[in-house]
Amino acid sequence: MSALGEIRAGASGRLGAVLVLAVLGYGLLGPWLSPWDPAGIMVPDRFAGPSWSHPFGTDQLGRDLATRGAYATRLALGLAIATVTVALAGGVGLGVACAFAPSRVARSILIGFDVLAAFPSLILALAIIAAFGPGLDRLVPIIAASLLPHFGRVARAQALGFRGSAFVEAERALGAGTARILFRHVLPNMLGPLVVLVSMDLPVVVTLEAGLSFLGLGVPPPLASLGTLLNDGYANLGRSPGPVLAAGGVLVVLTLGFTLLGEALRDAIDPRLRSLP
Amino acid sequence: MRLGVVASRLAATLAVLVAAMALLFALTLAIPGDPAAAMLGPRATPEATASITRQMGLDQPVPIRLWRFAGLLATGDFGTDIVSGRPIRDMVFEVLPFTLALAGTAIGLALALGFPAGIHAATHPGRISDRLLALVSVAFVAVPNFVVAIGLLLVFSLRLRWLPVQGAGETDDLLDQVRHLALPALAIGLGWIGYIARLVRASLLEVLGQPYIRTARAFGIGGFRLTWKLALRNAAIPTLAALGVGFGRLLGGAVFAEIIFARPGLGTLIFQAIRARNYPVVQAGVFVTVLLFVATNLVVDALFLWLDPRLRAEAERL
Amino acid sequence: MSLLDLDGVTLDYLGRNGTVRALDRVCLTLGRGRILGLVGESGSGKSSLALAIMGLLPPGTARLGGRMTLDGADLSERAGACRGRSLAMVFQDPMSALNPVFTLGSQLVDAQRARFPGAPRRVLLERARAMLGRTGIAEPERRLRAYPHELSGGSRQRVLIAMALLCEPDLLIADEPVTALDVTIAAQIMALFEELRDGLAGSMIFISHSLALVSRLCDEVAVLYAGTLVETAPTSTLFAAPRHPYTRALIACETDEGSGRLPVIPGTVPSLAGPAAACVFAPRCPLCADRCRAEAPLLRDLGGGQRAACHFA
Repeated sequence: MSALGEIRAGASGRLGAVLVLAVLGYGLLGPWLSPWDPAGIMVPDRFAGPSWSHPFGTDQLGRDLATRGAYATRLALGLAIATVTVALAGGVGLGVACAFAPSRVARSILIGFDVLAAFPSLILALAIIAAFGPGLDRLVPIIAASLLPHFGRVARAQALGFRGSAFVEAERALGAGTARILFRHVLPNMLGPLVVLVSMDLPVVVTLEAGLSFLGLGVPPPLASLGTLLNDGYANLGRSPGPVLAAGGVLVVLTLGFTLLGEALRDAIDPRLRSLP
Repeated sequence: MRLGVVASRLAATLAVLVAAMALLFALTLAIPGDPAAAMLGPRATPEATASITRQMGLDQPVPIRLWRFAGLLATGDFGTDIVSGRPIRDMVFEVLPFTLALAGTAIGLALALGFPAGIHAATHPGRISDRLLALVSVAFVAVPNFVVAIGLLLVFSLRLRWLPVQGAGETDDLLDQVRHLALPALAIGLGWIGYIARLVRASLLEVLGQPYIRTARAFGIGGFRLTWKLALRNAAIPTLAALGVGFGRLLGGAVFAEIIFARPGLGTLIFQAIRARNYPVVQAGVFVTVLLFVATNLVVDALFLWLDPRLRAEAERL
Repeated sequence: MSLLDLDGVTLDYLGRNGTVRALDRVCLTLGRGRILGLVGESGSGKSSLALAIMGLLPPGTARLGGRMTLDGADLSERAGACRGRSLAMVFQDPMSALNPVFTLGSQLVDAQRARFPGAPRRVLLERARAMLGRTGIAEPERRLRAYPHELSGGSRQRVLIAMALLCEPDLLIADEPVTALDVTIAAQIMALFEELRDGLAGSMIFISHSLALVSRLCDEVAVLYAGTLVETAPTSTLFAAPRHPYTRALIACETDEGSGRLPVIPGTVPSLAGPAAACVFAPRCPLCADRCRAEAPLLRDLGGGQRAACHFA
């Protein structure tokens, strides 16, 4: 059965796909379709409950939550994709370099990975933000930094596996240079595990960004981020649970959907990776 | 276990810690603008700024600052807090027990509930309870723990009023402290219950399919004894591995739980220090957190060597 | 009364692509104190038969039919209680059959608990030490504290044999115990079996794909082909006068008459999943006739303890 076929077959994978599609639709089409301005403050309408004009109600400043949620989702997805791309490029680059480079270089790269990995992701982000200050532009490299060691090690392991393999030796015997071997043979074969890694890490990235924004250290207000929406709701929890439920709900759907889809993808592409829960 | 094995692991860990310290120090150099002024905020007069700068040694050349930094961390003396005048070390160690209590309770909860759930799922695969467990555990692992925390707060504290909203409870009253621990620990632990259950289930299933389990069955060893004594011993190893790695996430979760439930702890300390641009306190807090994480991993690795005699042999050979 | 009685034992494996018949109406009896050699090529069902007797078939995918009795007790219900007491087994691959995280002593002690429940660990450990010595392990005292990975394949197999013997079983099943070992080590283990044979109180089923190995050790031989028992006979009779074409071909393959080319049996083993020709050996049999394709030959008694499933035997 093809990979796509297997995903369709599993119930949880199907659920994940549905959730992801819903989120993508919400994030991409929502801002377009919504009649409200996400920053449009209308104080008399604050804390309104769900209604036809405000499907998720309004927040403490009367802004439409459904619209803010849609913009926030779009931002979250955009940041996540950017972060993963940076982490992937850096991680794969360093990881593969590690496998093919002289041992001194490889060792220093590995120590670099270990040092980054010694910090829990949130703590690393907090440490860097403490020094550089919060800001939207910093979020991507900061979060990417915490992903780097993992991507790097997986890429290195894959590349090492190939370095000693028969077909690489055959290529060398035919006179192919290292770069050619890398691009034509090693990288395409690493695609499978890396795709799985990306799909499993996407919710992690979204969570980290939302968490930092929740703490006020990520996306700056009045920009809508799922984290800031959640924080606004938390601050006003006594007045109304609506904002918390809305923002939390979107986060749940997003993370759950991507995780289920990622797991189905993993099982379809390489069931051997199943040992990593 | 040979001393050499232990010593080499310690040395490797130490090297990573030193490098982490270096990273923290390097970040200090990167602080834009004038850190002293940033810390003082609106109260920053030229004299105050200069005084603070001298106190924190920011006017010294970089090598001297590095030396001072290393000395501070090595002796465990993190210096004096500019804002409160208290030794930073006291500030950190004052709140450390709260974080440890939270993390410990969360892990304990997760193990107590997750282990049996995982074992049940592995010994009764395919049943409805197994599938339900699978879905629920994924849900709790995937969903951000601060969302779970706020949700718990909403339901149990605000709506049902069963449990307190914030704080750590009265110092002398153990029961009160436990009541205040319940929700935050649950918030962190829920994700872990699912995580552990799935880990145990996966590794147990794999172990149960191994030839040596069949040998045990062939000799009449079965049921309870087989699952608990034999298979678990084998399955504990990969489970422990993943736990060690996941501990970092736990610490991150603890930060959120502390902030959301307004508990004292390392997380709250670091967070408030960041908002006050009080970098020395941030540094100290981060360093202790990293130390905790690294130490836990070391313990996990030691447990590995104890649990798996094959690793012991390999390690001793190197 | 015979010790083991298999009557019409049929085993089907239920799989995604249909049902595979691994054993077809196997009828076999084994007397007390006798050693039976079960011979067949890969996939003939010998290991499945062993697992069926032991009650260790994978639940859910295996469907067992027919009757199996051990000392009068119905094995389909009682196998669990018999394992480790009246039934014991030595598995094929010594590398993976032992638990890597427990000491050999602890595993040997556990193996005896079904047979001697409640006995103090000290006593069981001592019995284990003695048995390790009998099976040719040097320094048994030290070995009890060792882990499986510290031993060679041959030594591990000796440990597994010791484990089985410690239960003092009425029936010991050895499933290709030397197949996974080097030739020299295999020879040593075979010598061990022969040494132990005389001291063995119970019966044994020795499974192998090699007639040669079986000929030295066993009192009787049963030949299995594609799940069907095609011939059984006392060892000397089987080699002197094999009545089933497959047995004859097998013996010819293993004995080199010096005629130059190695004899082979043309054709391949039939797929057990598809519909079977009436006689399972028909496609490859030199004596095959129309009757063979229409009617399955049953095991017929040919006198002198010999039975064969062939229309022309």
